[in-house]
Amino acid sequence: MTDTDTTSGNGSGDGVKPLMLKVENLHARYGAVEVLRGLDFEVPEGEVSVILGANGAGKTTTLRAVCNMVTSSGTVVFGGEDISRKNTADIVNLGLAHVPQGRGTFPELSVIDNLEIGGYVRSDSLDDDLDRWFTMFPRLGERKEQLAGSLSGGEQQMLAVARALMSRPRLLLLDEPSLGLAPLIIEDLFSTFTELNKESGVTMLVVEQNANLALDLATHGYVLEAGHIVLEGTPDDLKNDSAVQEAYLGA
Amino acid sequence: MQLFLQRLFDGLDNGAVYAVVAVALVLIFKATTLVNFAQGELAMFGTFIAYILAVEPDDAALSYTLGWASWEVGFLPFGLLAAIFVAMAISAATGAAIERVLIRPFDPTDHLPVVLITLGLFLILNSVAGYLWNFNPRPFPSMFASGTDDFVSIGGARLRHTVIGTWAVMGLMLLALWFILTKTKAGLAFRAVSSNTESARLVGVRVGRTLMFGWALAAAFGTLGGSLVAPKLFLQPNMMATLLIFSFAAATVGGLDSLIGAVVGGITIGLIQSILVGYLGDYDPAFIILSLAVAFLCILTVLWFKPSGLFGTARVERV
Repeated sequence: MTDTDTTSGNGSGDGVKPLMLKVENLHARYGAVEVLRGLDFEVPEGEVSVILGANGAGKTTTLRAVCNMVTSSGTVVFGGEDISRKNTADIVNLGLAHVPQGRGTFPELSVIDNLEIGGYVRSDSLDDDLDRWFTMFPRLGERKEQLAGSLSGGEQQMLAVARALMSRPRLLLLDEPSLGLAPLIIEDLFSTFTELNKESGVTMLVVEQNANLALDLATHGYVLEAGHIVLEGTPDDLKNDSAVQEAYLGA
Repeated sequence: MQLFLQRLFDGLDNGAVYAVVAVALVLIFKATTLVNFAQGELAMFGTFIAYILAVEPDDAALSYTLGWASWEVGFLPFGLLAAIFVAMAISAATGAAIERVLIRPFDPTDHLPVVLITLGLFLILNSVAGYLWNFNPRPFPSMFASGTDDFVSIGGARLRHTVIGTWAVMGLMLLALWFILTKTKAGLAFRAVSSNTESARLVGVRVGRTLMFGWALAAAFGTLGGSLVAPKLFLQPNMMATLLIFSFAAATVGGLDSLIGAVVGGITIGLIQSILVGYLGDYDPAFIILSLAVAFLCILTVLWFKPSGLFGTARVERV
């Protein structure tokens, strides 16, 4: 525990932002299949890191390993605290929120219940936050009493994001938020993410296939292939990389 | 007409009890998508506890078997209601303990081991109750006025006070359940776990604890159901066995994940039993024996035509 404090503090100084998340040598497996083979990546506080990767590269598993929802090994330090041995609920209680792939809303619960359960880890009043997210996502406000399962894909994604934000997380994990959504809705959603990051200072870790939008949002990017980080750099570095252009930007 | 009304009231009487036990089954099913075969025996056990607390027994068998613990039973100055209430609390603790010790260690997505455990519990509770209290039926006092004159006469048929009381208790129970599930944080967590366990974990809900809460609720309400039915069936370890089949039928008809469905299913099964079997029984008394088969036919028919039940949600497999 004492070691992790120094790593997360990023003690070298130089005005570098402290790390919200630092992951070292992350391995994960499903049964006999090793999906992650030693990942290192980090998310500085207040910034957005993006992990790009094709289907099956291990993006979802990476996020699930951070929350300890798969069998994994390695070190995960969140806000200076080693969370690699903690259970998922405890990790969420520390201020991490995860929007799973396929949205993961509660289909049998109303929109408002979905948001209230999002604030489960809090003990103070949720009213201000409800107002805030209903203002940001007016379509959810119009459908407060509707069951989440009856919402459209875009609305469900908004609900999933709003639900995650109800816990006032320090770090938001987003698992392919663009998946299955129409292009216009995706643009909307990503401008919301930008707003959340710039104006509310929410730190994010996003995994995506949609490299264009993701790199516009990001301050730092990684490329994941077959369980390895094969490339990392600033969004511009990645955009200019010929391999990335070919594989993810359709150049 | 009078006969029809009488059968209607009888059906409502049985139906209320099926509904109470079905509600307990549905609670567990909602949370875990598991059918708890031990539900009835848990209720029976809880009813025995109420009996021990409430009844001043000249019950020699009872004080004898528990004598080894040098514990005088039946001495507590409990009124019946208080005794049932305490028995419900003890059942709730037992239900929670069962979840923690016997259910949680197993992979919840693998249903077979857990179903086998609930079946094993069924047998264990039944035989332990038989060992402790033997299989002789004991009269159990009713919460309601149950003398021969305690009825309301409607169209010549007797609507007994016990029937009205049973429905009133069930109404209160559903109200309490509705309040717990929709107005409390624990209830919201329970509904979240029922809806999507993984996402519940991701919002910080401690799933194990929430399931314990579900088991506790189900066990407590099961005991209430047992105490409602015991005056009619007499208290003995096998009391709930047949009842459980009808309650399964009720829960299946209503939809295994719907509390309202459990109530409607309970009424339906109760009415089918008393009216259909009643009239068939007029035709040939031997048909009365077939009422269990009728319950099974109801299950079968629902599974054929509407597998999710009348009020249940058709589950879509998430990928």
